[in-house]
Amino acid sequence: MSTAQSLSEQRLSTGIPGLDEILSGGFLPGRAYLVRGGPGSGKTTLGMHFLRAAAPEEAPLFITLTEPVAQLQKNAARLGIDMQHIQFLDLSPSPQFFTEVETYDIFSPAEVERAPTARKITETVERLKPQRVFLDAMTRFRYLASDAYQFRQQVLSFLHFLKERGITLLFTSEASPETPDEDLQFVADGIIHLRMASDTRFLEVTKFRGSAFAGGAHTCKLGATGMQVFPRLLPDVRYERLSIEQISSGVPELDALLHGGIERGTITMLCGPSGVGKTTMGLQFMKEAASRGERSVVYSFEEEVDIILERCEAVTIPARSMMAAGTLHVLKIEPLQYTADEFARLVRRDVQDNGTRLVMIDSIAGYNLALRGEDLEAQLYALSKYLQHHNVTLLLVVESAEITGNFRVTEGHISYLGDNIIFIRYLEIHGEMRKAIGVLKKRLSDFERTLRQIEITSQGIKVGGPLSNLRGILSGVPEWIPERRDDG
Amino acid sequence: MDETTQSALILTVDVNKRNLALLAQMLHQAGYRTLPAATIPALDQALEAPISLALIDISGFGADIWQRCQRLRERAIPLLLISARQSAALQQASAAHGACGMLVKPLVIRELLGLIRSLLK
Repeated sequence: MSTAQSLSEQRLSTGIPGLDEILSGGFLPGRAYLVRGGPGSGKTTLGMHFLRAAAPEEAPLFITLTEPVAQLQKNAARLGIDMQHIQFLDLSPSPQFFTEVETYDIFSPAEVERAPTARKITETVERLKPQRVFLDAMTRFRYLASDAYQFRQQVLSFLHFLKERGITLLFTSEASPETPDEDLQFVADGIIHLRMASDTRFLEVTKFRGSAFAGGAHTCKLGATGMQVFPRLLPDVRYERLSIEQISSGVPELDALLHGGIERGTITMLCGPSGVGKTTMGLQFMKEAASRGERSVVYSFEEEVDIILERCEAVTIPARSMMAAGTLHVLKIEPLQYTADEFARLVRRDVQDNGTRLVMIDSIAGYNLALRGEDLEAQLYALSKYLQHHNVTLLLVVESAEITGNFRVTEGHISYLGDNIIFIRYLEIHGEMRKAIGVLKKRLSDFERTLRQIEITSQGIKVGGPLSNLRGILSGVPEWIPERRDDG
Repeated sequence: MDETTQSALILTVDVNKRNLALLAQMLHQAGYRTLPAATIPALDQALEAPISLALIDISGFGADIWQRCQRLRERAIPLLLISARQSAALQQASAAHGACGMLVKPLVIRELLGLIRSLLK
């Protein structure tokens, strides 16, 4: 712990918690980092966060070569970023540059402006002694250099100048296919890419000298409060199961079917056709958890919160009073509201901050439809593993396409995710439609191999005795087996 | 810097005041004195002064600039003309009116100073 702390002390927060997480704590002091991306990708906003995170004695300095200071301050205020302690060096072209009829042409800008610009920067740095500098955009210096070699030399010497003073620099580049910025990528100690694909923003770190970082594309958001980054959840490697504790459903017959209940920290799939009672079954486990004082959360991708609560009340699950007591939280996830990274972060936050012990995702199909981003199934896998490692019990609702007939557990290839698979299905017995519940898989204990009849009534969930005298149950058209048989 | 360059007075002619200011700044740094002129009347007045060399940016001037070049030639004052573009006709005209050379913008400061130094020897 102490080594971890001393490591994190040597880090500078980027001002964006999610980015700090990706960078194993933040930037290393005295280094130069490049943030690159297309127009509107949030480079300047990221820089503002970086400067705002500085303590006033760090004298954060914003060197702008593109946007005038007044405009920057206006934008920062709009994002609620307090720029009070931040010093500015405005090297952006003044409006006179355009209105003035006489712009010089006798010498090239490289000859005329390089020296005064460099002098202004060095003077300002020497005077303010900043510890953090944000420069927007370094590529502007390209026009002050007579050729690519000069530009690279100047950038390198500028970086050394700041490094000598222990200054941490974040600089942006305006790269385009016509003017690539590979030269800047080589000299930077770290690179943050910002990009936008369809309607989702991504942040990716591809270089971070002297430190580990979380690779891959993480989603981010530019909103009313600036930039938010949602680190992609990767399955952790550490995994300690302390003890196997079974949690009861509160229905004795169902517990008997499960040989005691489901184990804490496992992933249970509740499968079945539409309307059969999967969500209610999950909430039954939550009702029992609430009676132990544990908190549960339902992430509903399909049904509205009110409808779920209403249905619970109808089957003696006191969802409203559980919500009032804080032992239940039902959250509707609207389509395209979140990316998978964001959703994972939401779930993790809740587990960390509220100590949630039971999570239900209703349903996997809804999850796949509603979330934006790439590799949804891999992300669900990572989230499941995270919950498992934190000993949180996960219930995944899986809707099967066919209401009757030949039985298939899950759509897609996600059945490997489940430690337990519980299914509910319709049966025809004596020309009547009934429902039966059974267990197909249970990784940590044995289970009953027969089905039981299940009814969801106004008195709650009723589970009958084992249906041992049926055959062909999984086909959906069971036959009675004669009471006495010769061949056992 | 020796005595001759210290005292040399260079006439700078340009309709663009920013260009004049930059020329002056560059020449002062090199130790020369300058005498700027942005218009024909100002130039006529400046021609009375003891000039060692003239730098004339012809962009923005009409044909009447050639007459002034002629007068500098009569007084044997070295003259460098500056133009916005390379043109054989201009080159010819400048030589005909006594210019030591025709330079095309943008100028490279180091080269310009080298040229001035050699002309003042």
